[in-house]
Amino acid sequence: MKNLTRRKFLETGLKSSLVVGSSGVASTFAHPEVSANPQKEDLLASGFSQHDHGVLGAAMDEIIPATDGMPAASEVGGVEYLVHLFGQISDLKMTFKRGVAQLVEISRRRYKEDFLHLSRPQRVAVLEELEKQSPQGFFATLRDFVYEAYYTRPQVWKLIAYEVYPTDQPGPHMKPFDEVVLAEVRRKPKFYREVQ
Amino acid sequence: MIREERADVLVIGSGAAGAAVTKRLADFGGQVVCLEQGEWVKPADYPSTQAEWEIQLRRGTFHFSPNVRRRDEDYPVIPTGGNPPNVLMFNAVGGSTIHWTGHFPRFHPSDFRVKTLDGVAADWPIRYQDLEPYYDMNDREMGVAGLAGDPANPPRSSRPTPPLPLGQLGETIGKGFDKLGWYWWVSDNAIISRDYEERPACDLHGKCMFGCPIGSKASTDVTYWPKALRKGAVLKTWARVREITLDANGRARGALYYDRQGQLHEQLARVVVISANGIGTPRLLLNSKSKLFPQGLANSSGLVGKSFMIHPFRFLEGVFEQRMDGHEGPFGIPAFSQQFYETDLKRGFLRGYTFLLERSFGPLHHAWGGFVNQPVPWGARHHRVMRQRFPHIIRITILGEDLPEERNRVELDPETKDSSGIPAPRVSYTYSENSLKMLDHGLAMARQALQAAGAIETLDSGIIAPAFHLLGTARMGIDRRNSVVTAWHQAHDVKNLFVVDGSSFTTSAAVNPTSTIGALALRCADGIWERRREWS
Repeated sequence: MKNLTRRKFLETGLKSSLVVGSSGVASTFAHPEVSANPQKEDLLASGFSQHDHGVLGAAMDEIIPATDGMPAASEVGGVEYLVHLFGQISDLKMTFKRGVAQLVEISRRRYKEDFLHLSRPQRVAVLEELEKQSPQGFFATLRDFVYEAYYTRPQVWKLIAYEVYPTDQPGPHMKPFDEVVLAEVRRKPKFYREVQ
Repeated sequence: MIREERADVLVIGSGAAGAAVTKRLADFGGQVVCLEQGEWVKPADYPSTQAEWEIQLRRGTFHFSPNVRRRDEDYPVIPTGGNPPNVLMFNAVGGSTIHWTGHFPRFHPSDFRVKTLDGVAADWPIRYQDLEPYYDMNDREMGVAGLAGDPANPPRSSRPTPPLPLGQLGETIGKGFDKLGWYWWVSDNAIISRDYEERPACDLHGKCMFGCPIGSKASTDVTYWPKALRKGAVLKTWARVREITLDANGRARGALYYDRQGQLHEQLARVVVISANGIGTPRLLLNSKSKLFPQGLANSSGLVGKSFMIHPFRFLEGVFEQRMDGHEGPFGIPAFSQQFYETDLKRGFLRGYTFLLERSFGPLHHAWGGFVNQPVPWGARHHRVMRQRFPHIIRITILGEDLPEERNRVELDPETKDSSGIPAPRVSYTYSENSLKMLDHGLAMARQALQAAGAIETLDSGIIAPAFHLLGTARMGIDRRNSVVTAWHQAHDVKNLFVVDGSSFTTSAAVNPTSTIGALALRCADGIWERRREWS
């Protein structure tokens, strides 16, 4: 059997089979760049005020806090990631603007203070109320996008020992299949219904 | 309108069935034209080549659902009923084999005799033995990794390549099954473990539910199609079929289709084969109304679109102390158990189910809630629980047999149309009591298996919207009053019209259907070729 590399396969097998426009596997593992230190102007251009950004960052740091040796969500560029998505997903920015306003409103009602001036336990209490009010509404959106912002970051992958195995590099080592594991089952009698 | 030259055979759809029919007929020397509404997918475009591949689970152009993906070539599917299905399919050269698990089981002999054995549904007009040589042929064409010798299945030929690695999760659950004395086996997967024909062996990267960019996982764009094209078959992409056309005698004359620019064409052919999946096929037949066939084409039985089957399923995740690394290695299905496959009336339901031991996605998917939709808690406990779950989970999918019921159906939606103005399908589905009892039983047994394997916690998905395997909407049968096509997939009403794909299933069995779809398609091609003198 001819020993084919991945690239060889793509260059010969697919192209000769008329796979239109086959350009081969990406030579580097594509990863959209999201700056961890964006310019202030970029953030403001998103339509969010400085205050909105502050609230969003503070809220996400209670959703994924800096505990157990792990960084908080904003420390790995969480706010910037979301701002980046505002330009890609229609209505997302408005959803977050309304959601941030909800957080501010709950804070003022409960504590007569802005969310940013609350203690961390108070912030958690505000988020819990938001979750109770709309478990499948904005709270779920906020939580899921914060998780996305966090668990798509390479620095987080490293900390949780997640190896992504880019397609143009070798995959993981796995123990080859060994038939010994089936020894018990092999001793069993036939187990399907015969049909005439 | 542009009228295209007459072909011997026109095939509509290029997925698991359409590719197999085309290649087999091209091998015989037939002049075959295939119309595919999608396009070739470039391997470099697969999300599996992207670092943020998991995002496609929620949004993006490779999402599993056409209603979320909304590519130009997709059509909307309107879900309704007591348990509206979240229908998954893909429209491209290769069809839904572009992103599937690659699991490649066979039906059991008893699956072809459901009425005789269990008094429900209907018997197939063919037997396991009729299909067996075609299963083997399809295995060779697609390239399969696996191991013969499973005592819970009929003997089969040696597999084209040896089994893929089980991984820690496979070995762990295997020990659990052994402890309970249950049957289990390493799965057949259409993912090659050795270089095979022109394709390289799987290099175990994982992520391959979102496309295998190196071609180790079989999708028909890298298996059947290159060979079919070399044999002279013609594949027209961006060809969206509106309706089947007829001659004055009520025989199929060809099909009307729109090209990407919206130009209408008619492709003429001596024989027409529809392989557009269990929703696309009845949609096309129902859209092909005429004076001769006012209820839709091939629908004198009134059964086109009815008895839609979609496998009932439920997920149970077990959390283990040791790492399971379920995100590593080919997605596929490392192992399965058919301990509860055959009917046992003591269980309180008819027919049975398979346990699929499945690999998983990455950390984001787990944080979002995994397959059981139970998000990792936010706040102070977040990192601790995340570390407990990822990568420490083994997932068992309980995949049950769905029985045909007329209330579950595909119809034309009166309002929604695709971007070409063709009425969209509306799919109505409600779980039967039998299915719900089966899933409850499966949940209890799966929990037992995970605990026997050492799970410290289990997480249940509950009853969720059915999503995959679109079956039964133009079923095979002997009697034209209660079936749409014959044992050779020939429409009872239109002699030169054939239907072969998931829609031609008489019953659903409790296994993933792609292997059976391919085998049926090869057999259908043989039937067409044997009778070729009748078509000219």
